[in-house]
Amino acid sequence: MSIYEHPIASLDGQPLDLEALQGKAVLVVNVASKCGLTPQYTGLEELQRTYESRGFTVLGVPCNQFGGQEPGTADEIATFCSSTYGVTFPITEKVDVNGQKRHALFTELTAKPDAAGEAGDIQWNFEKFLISPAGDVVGRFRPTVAPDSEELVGAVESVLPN
Amino acid sequence: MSDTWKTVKAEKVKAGDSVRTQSGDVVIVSRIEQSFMGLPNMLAFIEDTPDRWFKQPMMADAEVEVLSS
Repeated sequence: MSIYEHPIASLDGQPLDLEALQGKAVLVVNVASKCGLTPQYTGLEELQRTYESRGFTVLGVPCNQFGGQEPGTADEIATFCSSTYGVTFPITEKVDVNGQKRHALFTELTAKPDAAGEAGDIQWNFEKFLISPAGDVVGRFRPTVAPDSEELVGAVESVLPN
Repeated sequence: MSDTWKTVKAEKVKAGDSVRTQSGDVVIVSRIEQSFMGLPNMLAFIEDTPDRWFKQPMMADAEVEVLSS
């Protein structure tokens, strides 16, 4: 099963064409607007602007399962992301990333172990999964790994298609 | 006998309890994660039911309300 085979909508409710991401390096991040880690949006947008031309994109996935820190409507989330952080990368609909109602995309992603060898549930907002241009989940970074960390930037650079 | 809410430290909560946090949210505690995000003074209540998966971190010595019968 490929990660591209799990339908998900964009924040505006229109289907997001995951197949269009094939051939790109993708960093999937579960995001939230009212979290202590929310300023990571700045670093994520920096990654987007730095590497977009080399076949990379961040994909933000809002989720309200962690402390209820993403309570807003789609419009509120979109406004927050654009006005506060100038986000240009795609944002999906709000979904569950853990539990029995977990979105199928995250069933596949959470099977990937982190650097310590631990797979399974997402710990908190702003966990990150790196997808290679071939569609393989090649990295998992826990929430406190900053977008501008050597660990994450190095991993992104190692899978850029261009 | 009616249900009553009792105030306890978060570290005294057990799986199966219902917890009302200071924000008023009620979490049905399925399990408890110790040292949330590697912080020894933090824990997280996890509700993992067919209806909802929800994680609420707390300071271990924070006061919460627990539902007891």
